[in-house]
Amino acid sequence: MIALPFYPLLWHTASGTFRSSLTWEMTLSFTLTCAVAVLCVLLLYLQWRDLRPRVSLRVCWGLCLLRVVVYGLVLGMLLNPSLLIQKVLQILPPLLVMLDTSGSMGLAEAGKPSRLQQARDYLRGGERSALATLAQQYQLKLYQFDETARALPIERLEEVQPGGRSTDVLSALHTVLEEQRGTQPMGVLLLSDGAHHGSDTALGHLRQAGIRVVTAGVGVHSPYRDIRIASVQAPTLAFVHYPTEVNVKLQTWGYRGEQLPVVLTRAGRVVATRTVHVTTDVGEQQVQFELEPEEVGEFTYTVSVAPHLGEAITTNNHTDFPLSVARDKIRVLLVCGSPSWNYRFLRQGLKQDPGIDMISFVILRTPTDVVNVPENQLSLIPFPTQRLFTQELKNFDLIIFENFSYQLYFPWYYLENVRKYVHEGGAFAMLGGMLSFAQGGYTGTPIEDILPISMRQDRSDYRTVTQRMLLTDEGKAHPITRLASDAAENQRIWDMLPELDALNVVGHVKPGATVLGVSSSRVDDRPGVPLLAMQRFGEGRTLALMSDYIWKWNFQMAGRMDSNQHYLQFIRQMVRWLIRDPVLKQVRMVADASEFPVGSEVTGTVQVLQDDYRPAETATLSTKLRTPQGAELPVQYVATNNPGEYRYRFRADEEGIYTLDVQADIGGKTHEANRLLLRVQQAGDESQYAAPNPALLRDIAERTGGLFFALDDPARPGVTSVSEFFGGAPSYQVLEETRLRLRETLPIFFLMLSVLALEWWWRRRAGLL
Amino acid sequence: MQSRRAFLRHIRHWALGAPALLGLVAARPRPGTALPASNMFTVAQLQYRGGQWDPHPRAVAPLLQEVRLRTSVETRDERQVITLHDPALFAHPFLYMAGARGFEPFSDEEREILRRYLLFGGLMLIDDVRGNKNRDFDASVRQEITRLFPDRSLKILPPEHTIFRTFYLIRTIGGVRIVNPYLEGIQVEDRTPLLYCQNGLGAAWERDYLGRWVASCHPGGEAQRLEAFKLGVNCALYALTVNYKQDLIHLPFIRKKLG
Repeated sequence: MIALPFYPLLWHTASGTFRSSLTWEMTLSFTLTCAVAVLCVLLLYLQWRDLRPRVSLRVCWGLCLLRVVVYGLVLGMLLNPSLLIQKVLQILPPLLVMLDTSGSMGLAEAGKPSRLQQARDYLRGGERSALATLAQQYQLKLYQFDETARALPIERLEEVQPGGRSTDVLSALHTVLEEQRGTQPMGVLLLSDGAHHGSDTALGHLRQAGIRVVTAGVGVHSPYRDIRIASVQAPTLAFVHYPTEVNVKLQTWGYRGEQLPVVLTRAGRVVATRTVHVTTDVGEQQVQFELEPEEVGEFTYTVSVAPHLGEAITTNNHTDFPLSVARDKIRVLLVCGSPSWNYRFLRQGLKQDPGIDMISFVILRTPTDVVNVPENQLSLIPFPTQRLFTQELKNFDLIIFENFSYQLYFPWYYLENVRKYVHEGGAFAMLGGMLSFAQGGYTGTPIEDILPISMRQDRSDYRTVTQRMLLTDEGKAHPITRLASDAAENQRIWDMLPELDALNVVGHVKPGATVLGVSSSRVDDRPGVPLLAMQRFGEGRTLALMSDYIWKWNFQMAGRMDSNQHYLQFIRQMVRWLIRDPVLKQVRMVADASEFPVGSEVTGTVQVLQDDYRPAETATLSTKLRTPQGAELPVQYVATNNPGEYRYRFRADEEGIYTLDVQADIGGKTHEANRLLLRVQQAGDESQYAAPNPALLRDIAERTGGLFFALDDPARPGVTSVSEFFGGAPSYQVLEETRLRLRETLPIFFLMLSVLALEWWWRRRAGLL
Repeated sequence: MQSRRAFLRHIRHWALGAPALLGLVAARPRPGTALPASNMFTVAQLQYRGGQWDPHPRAVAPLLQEVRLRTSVETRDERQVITLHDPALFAHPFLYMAGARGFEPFSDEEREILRRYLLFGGLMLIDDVRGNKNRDFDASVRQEITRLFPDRSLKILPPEHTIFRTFYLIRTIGGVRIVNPYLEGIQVEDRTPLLYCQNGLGAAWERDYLGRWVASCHPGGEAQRLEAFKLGVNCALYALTVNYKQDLIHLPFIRKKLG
């Protein structure tokens, strides 16, 4: 039996939807049925041939027609038609509608409703709105999306507001398609401005979904005007006096022919300006700045373009970026009164340090030394004292006088420049020898003012004393003299270091100075004569090392088959402490993250150390927190269980860079931490980039075999065309069904009998029977 | 107030004539407190086995005097004789090794000590007073240097080497005779911790007890002796200042003087 369907009819009543269809359930095989049909045709032909001579043409036609009806009914019965009446539930094919509700859809171009409203008007507006038309043929599922997609009840379409912080068209599309994969949707109608901030990875996989996407671009033909600082490429770390490149990418829409000044500022002060000439309606420009930081620290720079008339978004006209400026190399001026082993090994220690850039002047010949050759046969150069001590001091981070007496080389008042230099933040160290301290003529000079010790009134302060340097309690923990993190190991190292054979005896240690090491021998009947002391003077630091024998800590340690690294480490740590290396600050701050979202709590830790670098049990913190707008905010501090450690927190409601400065009062002295720059950013990119992107929408349509049109295009396809494009037909779920086999019905039987009877009658009438 | 030793030294020089007088007049007043011996510059002379370690016993003192007279460096009056096993070796970062004959090879331990001495900052000046290439002392020295630094070899120092600029600008190598118009050395990173001269520097420096020169210099005479002293002074300053004269600030001046 073969069933051949016939064209179904559909009708709706109050009790439901019905569908009827005519099917043919053939009794015989198709071949046999055809054979019967051929036989019937043959019989008909024979009848015609038989009747034609015997009756009139009219009668012949009539009788043959009747026979055709009979044969037709017979064939029909062989074909066994059945009328199938089904009560069905019409299931429309699903169609997905995705509506972009990100922040950029809230933009309204001049004289027009917002992009979201335009999309809403298309979907809902008028009698032949898209939703109404499509709902007749499809089961619509509406989604809204920004960075994610979620279902939106159609009745709530008017309530939805633009607000998503970023847009990920492709990810939203992928999510929806995956979710609806089992329902086989006919397609997706996606309404968006195309301002996409996510990854493009999903673009390549759209074709595999096998679902056509019709994209309707919103705001495509509307004039969009915007200037955006798209990106700023700058190193996070720069070096003082070294040029640093900052590359800025500028995007423009709609300012063709205009000259745009791009400004680089720091703390409101203009650092540099560049002018960009815009030559295209939509384009990118690269702007390069070269800045040369002049001071060490943490700074916030801003690149900005002034807002222009008609700009869609002005929040993307500026970008802040932090810049840490460090010294590239520590610049040391070493002045030595006479070549000596102490100079030799000190020079080696400083030269070997890749972080130090040293200039040294050694007095190779004094005015009293006898010259036996013309001057041009000597490699001696003038000692540029005037330039060094009047102009160049500020270019050094540290000045060391090693066994050097100034008296033969420059006037007393140059030392006042050194004093001022230290007071304003420089560093100074005096190392011992016969030309240092009182014996070098420094008593009563500005150098005595800045050093942590006072000098003897008589000039003979140099003593030949065999001694070791014993660390004081402060010295055991101080960064200069802590040569091992373990206290016992540190002590063992210091016990091992060779003896020193002489020292400069000084007066007293100044209040506020710290003695790190003392002589192990009694000198001038005094025990504990200071050997190493340091202090802060103004903004700077000074150190006095009262011996010229520390070279033995290097060479003689090597001679004992031990390490000379302790000496090198000591020199390194001494230099870094003097120049206030940020690593050695006593107040240290870190943040828990490198960036924080707007509206979140910014948190971090402050660590406070005493002068001996042990955690400060008691300290008073004071802070200054500035918002990006320059307002001051309070900061909460909570001490943790670790001594000297505090947790801070504050709420950041503005986007930009917050500046946190912390001071700690430790034992009556104020110490500052490095300034911390905390970046707070608006999560999402809608505030940055909102230009319509029809190219993406077009791409999506092409890849999926779909269609793209702009909503504001007068020639856009109508909704009906869109519907036809999607195609598809409803499917039906059969609820009830009734089958009526027509050959088993009386009317058919009576019809056949009637036709046969009529033919019999007509044959009799015609005299054939 | 001068020390007794200094006074006698100056009397001796005066007895020899004007240069000493000039030295007396120009001598820098000594500070009241004596510098500890260990911080004064001195030359430690190496005593080794075999050969002839001390062909010119009074060579070093005139060099020290010259250094003291011409430069700002305080020196001791006499050398320090030392062996490689001496614990005081590393108290003297400048080592002078003279010889006239082949010598016994250093032991492994001695070689290790010497290598450490040179690598950690010491300077050694080897002075061949015999002047015979590849024989006797020269052969022993070259052999020993090869064992000391198997991955390096003695190289002729170029004219722009720091050793020729540390105090005097030296264009020729002096000595008692000009065996080589050059100096050789072993380079370790940016230093030359080992210098080798075959021109008999010590022989040119040496004075007898009466202050007379022991050997005459050929063919250049006193000018050649002066060059020997200049090289000696430069070696001392090189030991104390290393590459100071390679600092950029010096180069324009030196170039100008060298023409």
